[in-house]
Amino acid sequence: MDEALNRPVASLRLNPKFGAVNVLLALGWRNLWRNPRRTWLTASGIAFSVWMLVFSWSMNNGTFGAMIDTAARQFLGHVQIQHPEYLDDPAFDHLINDVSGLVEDASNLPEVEGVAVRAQSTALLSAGERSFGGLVIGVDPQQEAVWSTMPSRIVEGRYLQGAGDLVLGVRLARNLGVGIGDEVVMLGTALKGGVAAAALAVVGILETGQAEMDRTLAQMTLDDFRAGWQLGADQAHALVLLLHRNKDTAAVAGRPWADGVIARPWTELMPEMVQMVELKRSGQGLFFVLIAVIVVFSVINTFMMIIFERTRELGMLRALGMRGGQLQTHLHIEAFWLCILGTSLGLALTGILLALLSVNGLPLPESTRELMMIYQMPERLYPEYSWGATWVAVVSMLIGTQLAVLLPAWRVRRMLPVEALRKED
Amino acid sequence: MSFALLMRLSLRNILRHRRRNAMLLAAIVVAVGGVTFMNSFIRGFQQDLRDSAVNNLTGHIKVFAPGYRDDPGIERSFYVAGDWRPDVSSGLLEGWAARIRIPAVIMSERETRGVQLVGVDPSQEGISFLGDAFYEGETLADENDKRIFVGQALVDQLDTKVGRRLVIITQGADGRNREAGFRIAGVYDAEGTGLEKAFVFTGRAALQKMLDTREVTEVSIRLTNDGAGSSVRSMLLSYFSGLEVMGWRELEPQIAAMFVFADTAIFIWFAIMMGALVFGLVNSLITAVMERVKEFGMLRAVGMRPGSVIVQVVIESSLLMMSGVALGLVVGWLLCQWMSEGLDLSQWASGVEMVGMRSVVVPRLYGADMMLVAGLSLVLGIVASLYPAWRAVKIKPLEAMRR
Repeated sequence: MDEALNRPVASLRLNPKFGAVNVLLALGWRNLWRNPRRTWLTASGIAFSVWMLVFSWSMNNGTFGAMIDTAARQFLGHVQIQHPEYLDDPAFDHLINDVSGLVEDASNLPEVEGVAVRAQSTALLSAGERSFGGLVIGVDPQQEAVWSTMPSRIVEGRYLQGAGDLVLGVRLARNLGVGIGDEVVMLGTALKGGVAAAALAVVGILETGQAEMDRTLAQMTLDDFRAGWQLGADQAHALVLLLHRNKDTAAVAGRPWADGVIARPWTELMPEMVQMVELKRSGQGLFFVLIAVIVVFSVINTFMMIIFERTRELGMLRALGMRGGQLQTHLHIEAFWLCILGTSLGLALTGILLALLSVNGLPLPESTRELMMIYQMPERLYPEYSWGATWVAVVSMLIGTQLAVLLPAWRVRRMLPVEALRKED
Repeated sequence: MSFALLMRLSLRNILRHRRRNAMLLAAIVVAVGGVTFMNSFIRGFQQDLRDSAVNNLTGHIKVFAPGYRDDPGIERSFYVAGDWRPDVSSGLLEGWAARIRIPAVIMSERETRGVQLVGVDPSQEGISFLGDAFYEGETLADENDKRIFVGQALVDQLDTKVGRRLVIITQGADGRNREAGFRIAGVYDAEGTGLEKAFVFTGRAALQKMLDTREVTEVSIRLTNDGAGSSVRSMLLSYFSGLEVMGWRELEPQIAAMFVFADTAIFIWFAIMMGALVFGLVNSLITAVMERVKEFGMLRAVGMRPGSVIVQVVIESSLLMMSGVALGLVVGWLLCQWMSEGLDLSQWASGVEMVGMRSVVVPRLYGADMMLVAGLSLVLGIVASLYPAWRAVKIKPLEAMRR
């Protein structure tokens, strides 16, 4: 068991400048391998907790990213340019003017993948004797078709093409009792309190899987909307921007836009999503703390066993004049190596698993499909490596293992050399 | 060798290394206590999910006319005799309500919204969130009340207030549209703006008069115990023949799916916690065996059977685990008592609402869950001791004693 110790430490080619430190480091590393099984078991505990945090956090990151992407691509975009008060009070007269200028600005940004201009209002939709409230949205079909997944959600008929076309959510169409070709009359409040009206023929039916949208959504062309709701040719409620990469959101939202408008990043458009993730993370964080505590106890235990087994040796070192503080340093270095071993093991395991999953994705069971649609999750989950979790895991394990040494070290310092030497194996 | 003797041997061996085993015990206590505590929150969350599903006008069981769920409207309604009562023993029945619930359009001078117009008998609504919602103004007086009771979020959207009039358009029993003005009696504050935007309440009899009908569109029943559902359902099916009778799990499939997922989450947490613990446990047990190589050699030499060696190691592990589990459960219970006011999640309010929780989660500790944690931990304790036990059996008496 002690073979490693028989090799002279000095035979390692060490930088003479840091000789003393190197010898200590080498000694700690060798001490670790006097009982390989114990070292592996303790390191596995550390590896397990690192894996649990980094892996779950990375999976969450991936899922969260996919949810944002799905929501952005479906309808919301990454950034919306709105009237400054529109978000808190979506009143009809909180409009943006000079839309075409903004579209030009936005289209020239390298981060932007697509733009869409929208105007919307709640309205009363009627077909025959039936009437329902709905959210009528005027869109530019050419713009939407470029990036929005909405056109692909058509389950019957086709998406908007030109003037006179109307697309309805599936529940709304069923409630109104209309199908393709039927006419729907919309009544609402136009600008300055006038009556807004439009009568259009249904050309397509949408199913998004989100009950609220399917029950209320009606889309028509922006020109039809502007005509019906008496908007000017350059007025709208939102300019929706889809970005190539989600991480550019803050930069694009933060750049100076025209006067009288404000850029809203998706974090403001769907604050519930941000909060849900924070909530999930705090749960995982709490869990990691508990696991870290368990692992620290097991590291304390390991060092208790180590000093118990080395009582005689430690007594000898004390008798030869080594101070308690020096022996404590040895234990700290050993704990450091143990932690490095454990965290590397954990990160390697996490890396391999994540690499496999990022190729194939984690398929979700069929039974959860409905839930996934509601939370806008994709069918397969892909991880996104979390450097933040890596730092948290590694640093907390380093601190935890160093703290774990304190109790055994205190025992070593109290040890009386004579008694320790007298102890039988 | 008798079991009692093995027991004494194991106990003494544990006490030989008090500090080391105390550390191990502490780790077990943290794991078991932590799992118990986390489980109680998952259960609290689960209960919240069901309560909010049942509260939001669903009830445990609901009766509809066929086709109403796909195409809600007053034409898909049914008649409930004035003297009808659910034939359920009063211990099981918490309450019931017959309602009209139809889509409608509501308009203020400024805005138009689509809502669900619900005609209720306020005296029956103790079973839904309406019964204990905070409100400003007045609640509906009785089923003849012609005023409306509106959610705060909707009032904000419509830019109106208590005492003002709103116009409601909906379809009558004859298929023609009805349009009438309603005065706002009061504004309710439900937990979560989803409900506040969706439901507008008025008196049931008043609404029936407006729609020219004597019928209702739903009967909702709330039980004191979810488990009694199936017998009540068959009773309802036989009375309301030709109608649909559904439980909350069918009516709120998303919540039911989350509900089931929470059951799985409990096992996942347990597995992770114990995964972290098992390394330390095996580590200690192996050391305990390897330290005693000589002793085991001696015991074998004087005739101890290999089986007894295994039993001894397993007993050692089980004793440690049992005391850890007992203490851990106590710690978990104490933590739950300490948090009995509930954990305030209101800083994440809308995220919490998105997953169907309330902003304060109250931990709920169930005996069955504690038994489960205890049982699985003991199984784990035995499984973890198998490798060390096998190591102990492998010790050859002669070699061991020569060391």
